[in-house]
Amino acid sequence: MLALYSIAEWMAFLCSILLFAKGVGNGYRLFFLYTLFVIIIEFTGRWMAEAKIPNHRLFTFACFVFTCFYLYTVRSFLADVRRRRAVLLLLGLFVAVYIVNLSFFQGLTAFNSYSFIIGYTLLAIACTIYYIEFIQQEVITPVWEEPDFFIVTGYFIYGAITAILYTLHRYFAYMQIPDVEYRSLFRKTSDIANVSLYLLLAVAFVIIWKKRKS
Amino acid sequence: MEKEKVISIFFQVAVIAFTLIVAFVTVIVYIRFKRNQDIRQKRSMEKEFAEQLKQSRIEVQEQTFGQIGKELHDNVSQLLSTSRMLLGLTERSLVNPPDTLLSANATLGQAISELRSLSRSMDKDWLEQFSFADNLQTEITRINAGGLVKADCSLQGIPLLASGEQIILFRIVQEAIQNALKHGRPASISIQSRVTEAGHLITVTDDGAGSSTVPPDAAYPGAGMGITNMKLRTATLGGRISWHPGTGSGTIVSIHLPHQTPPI
Repeated sequence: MLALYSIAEWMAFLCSILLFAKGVGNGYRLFFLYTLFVIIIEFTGRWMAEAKIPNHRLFTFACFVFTCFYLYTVRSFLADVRRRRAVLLLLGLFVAVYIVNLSFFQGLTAFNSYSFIIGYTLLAIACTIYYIEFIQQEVITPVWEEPDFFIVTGYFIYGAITAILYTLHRYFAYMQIPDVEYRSLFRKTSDIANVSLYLLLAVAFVIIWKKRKS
Repeated sequence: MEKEKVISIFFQVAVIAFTLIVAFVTVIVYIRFKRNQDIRQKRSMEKEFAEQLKQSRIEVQEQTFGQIGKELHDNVSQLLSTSRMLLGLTERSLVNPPDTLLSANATLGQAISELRSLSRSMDKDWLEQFSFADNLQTEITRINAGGLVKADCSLQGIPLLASGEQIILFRIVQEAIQNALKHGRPASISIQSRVTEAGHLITVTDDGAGSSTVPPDAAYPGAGMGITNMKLRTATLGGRISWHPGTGSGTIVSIHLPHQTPPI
């Protein structure tokens, strides 16, 4: 039986097909590839776990690509040049942290959690930059007609929760507490963050499709 | 650390994190909502202010017209009447008054009549007693009385407007006629009004030297202020105005007005 977050992933993927309708901006179509990539990675990761093959490398690479994608899309939603530059700087910082961590600290043997704690924190900062622009906009479009807001809110919830969870996970590891003791709660919380992200993405895709130019 | 304690810490952190994140997003949505309200209110106030500004400009113009009209009637017209009376006395005191004197007397009489008609058309109080059609007919008669230009009007459907709005429409048409007379030197002017799908279309067509140069500011050099007023007045009525070259020569001024609700 499919897990709840898998259902949410599939929903986001199916809704992303709507982005190929006529009149939808080409940039949004990237989300189809993103959701497809999420499903492929999820499927491959699960298969590797069942086959007792370590999947750390796969997730380290996938999370890097996803975080870059999140930061890139937040940047594309911004209109102000200085804010775009700031998010680009955050993206550059994340890439640098990822390379340094991969080369000198966590390497390829374990999941690069340090990179993603920093990466998702940077993502939360990028989302806050978007929110600042969002509340300063001189338009009177209601929130439910703003797909970018839903996408960024999905990123924000997912990024902030994941960053906190991994920080806690690293803290418990430092305190030498085995993860068996809190694994179930960790997974549940992580699932809620994932479900929030994919459901908000699905909602955003439907809004984009409804708002398409005829 | 005990297992329960670890779970408790994890649970508390997760709950606090979720609560804070949801609260943060809610605050963002609320701020945006309030900002939307403020922007809406600001725009509505700006619109209202612009409307009031337009209205007051028109009112000031109407007052100025009225004052000029009164001045023409009470002062200039009286002076001319006195002059005519003196001419009449001179005419009667002479056994054989010269033709030039008779002609001057007749021309002065015509000028007084023209001036009275003009002063009446500028008086808002006088205009309010009549409909747009009556006012227009008087204007046509006045132009035809000059004998230089042949004017006619065909009104097949007149917009249902309140008296104040009828004056605004009349002023637009009056300005269009004056522009044609002053700058186009036409042989004829035709005013037509008809019902269209979108509302009413009032056209002022002349066969003068308005030529094919549109926009009108170029067609009638020196008519800039009048054109601006015409645009402003048409906007006040919720319509739009356009200028087109006439067939052959001259200019067609088209005033498009939306369907109006009958005045109460």
